[in-house]
Amino acid sequence: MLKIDDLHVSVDGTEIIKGLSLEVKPGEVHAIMGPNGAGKSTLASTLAGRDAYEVTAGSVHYAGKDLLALAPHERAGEGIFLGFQYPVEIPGVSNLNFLRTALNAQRRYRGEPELNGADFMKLAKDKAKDLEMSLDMLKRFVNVGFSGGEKKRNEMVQMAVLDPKLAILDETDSGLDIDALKTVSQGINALRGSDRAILLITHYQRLLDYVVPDHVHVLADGRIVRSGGKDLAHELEAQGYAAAVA
Amino acid sequence: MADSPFDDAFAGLGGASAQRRAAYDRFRSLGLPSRRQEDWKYTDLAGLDRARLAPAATGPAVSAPVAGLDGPLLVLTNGRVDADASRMGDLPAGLEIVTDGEPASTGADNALAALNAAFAPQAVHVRVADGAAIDRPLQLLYRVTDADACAAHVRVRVALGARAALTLVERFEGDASAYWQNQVLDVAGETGSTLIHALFQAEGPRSVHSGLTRVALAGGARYRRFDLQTGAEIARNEVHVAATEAGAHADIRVAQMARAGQSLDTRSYLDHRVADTTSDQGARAVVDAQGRTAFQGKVHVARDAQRTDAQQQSKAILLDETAEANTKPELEIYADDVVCAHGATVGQLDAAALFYLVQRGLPLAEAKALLIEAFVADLFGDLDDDTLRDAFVAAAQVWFGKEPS
Ligand SMILES: Nc1ncnc2c1ncn2[C@@H]1O[C@H](COP(=O)(O)OP(=O)(O)O)[C@@H](O)[C@H]1O
Ligand SMILES: [Mg+2]
Repeated sequence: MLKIDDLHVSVDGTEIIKGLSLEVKPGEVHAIMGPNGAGKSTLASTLAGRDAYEVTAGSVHYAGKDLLALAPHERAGEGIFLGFQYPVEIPGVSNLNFLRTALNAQRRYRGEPELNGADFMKLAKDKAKDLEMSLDMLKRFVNVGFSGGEKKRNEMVQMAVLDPKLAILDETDSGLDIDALKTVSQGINALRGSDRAILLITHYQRLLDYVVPDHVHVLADGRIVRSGGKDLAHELEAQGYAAAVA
Repeated sequence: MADSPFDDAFAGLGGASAQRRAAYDRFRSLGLPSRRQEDWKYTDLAGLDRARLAPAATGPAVSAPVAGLDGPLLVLTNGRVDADASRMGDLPAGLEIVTDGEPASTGADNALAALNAAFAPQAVHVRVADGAAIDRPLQLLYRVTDADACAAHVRVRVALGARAALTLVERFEGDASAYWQNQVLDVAGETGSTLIHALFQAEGPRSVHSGLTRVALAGGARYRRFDLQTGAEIARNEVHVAATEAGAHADIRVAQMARAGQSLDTRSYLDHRVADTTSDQGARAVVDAQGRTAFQGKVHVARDAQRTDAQQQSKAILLDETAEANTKPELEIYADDVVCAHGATVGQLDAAALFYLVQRGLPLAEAKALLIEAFVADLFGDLDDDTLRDAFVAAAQVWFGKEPS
């Protein structure tokens, strides 16, 4: 489903990703762990197509397509969702307006009919309810005045409504208390399915108790330095990255 | 005095009244404003000297009122009341509208107002009786068609009685001819009155638009202006508000959207003459490649005007390196116990917000439009009338060439 081959990425002329390869098959959940500054968010942003991130070598294929040739909104239309480490506040745009515009833009891209107001409202309300977000919050401006945890929950509401094929979740677990972590984990697990894949970027092993990964990778200094099964996460937690990477 | 190209146009009126003659003489002694004057730094009217002088002939009637508003509608086509296009039957009680063939020249220390007094074919008088709260908006539509090299001068006076309330919606529009529309609007608000003034400047792409609004507010009177400037090649607006008694309050909200070749300039003069008056000004500009805007907000606080509260905020978004937004607050404060704050920012669209939107599936152009729409809509957030607020958003969308939703 996703095949990254010897990827090199520079930001402002500095190489951050230095030859990264990774293959994710449908139905799989991969966790990417690693120390601060390793390049995890850079990898996520590159896959989503942020323009400051310059791919200097390597390739990325997604569902048989050359991902790097697609514009960011086309990648979204193809089913890629990025859960942001730092969700953005957008004053003046309500969550509902934002979500409906986004969903219908994706549906247009895929040649599907747009959802009408009533159908959309039902969908948005259902998904918000699953993730314990009130209608009142849905009506508010995107992330404006939301706490850190509310912003992350809002990312999960968006993911649930947009129903992606490949979700890349960048530290969705950071800043959550244990109850919120459980709710968010349920949201992630609800997305699991044989035709979908999830890339979980996380700093802590905590999330992986609730969303159990098929594979765990350690990203350090722009490369994947170790890969293993779910037990690798426990090893990392116990010994720290330095020992695991050495 | 040297000859002026306006002389022939004035002579062309034939048998002008003494009052028009006096107004014209006043204009001749003042002359057209020039960019050498500090107040006119951003607007060049030199072109008017050579063209757009002749009074516009009556044009074909067109009626395109603001969507969703079903109240009374007065249409002025090429400067003249167009009774057929208007909808003036069955006015709400307490609202009176009279058209006068001889516009009174009042306080013409302003060259464009003097010229307006000399040339305006008619004046429209709107009166709201004491205590009358008019619940349907009154719409004035000023339309110019087929008026190459012509000028349409329109003059309106709004008088609100004590505790009277009115929502006035003005819309300026025109075709692609190279015309000049020059309006003077005088507002007198008696004690405790409220005027909500929604203004859509959507003039034709080759036009010059000038507007002068002069407001005098008595005790506790409120003037709330919501103003969206999207049209004209050159637009120059002046808003003068005199707070003459305690409790008077003015809100000024001006959004300017300028694209290539457009110059949109708004100047405000908030004159706090006595103690305990307040004002709040908010300006937003969205400027595309080769466009220019200017917002100069002046606040004058007289020596005895203690406890004045005058706020001013201006924000501009530049969509291109060649876009230009000028913003200049000017405070002249002679009292010591006042709160006068001002702030100005000029920036680009937030790159992080844009990426967030495109990642969720919006094509880049749509993402930009949504952010700009939000930026403009935010300015009109405290306009209570939903229909009007939607109309502003729709007008901003038209600027993008988007079909209003
Ligand atoms: N926009 C940027 N400009 C310059 N340097 C950046 C930028 N984004 C990230 N970096 C640098 O790239 C490296 C990797 O950052 P990041 O991908 O955010 O790491 P992680 O998410 O693993 O903590 C860090 O050294 C960081 O300082
Ligand atoms: Mg990160």
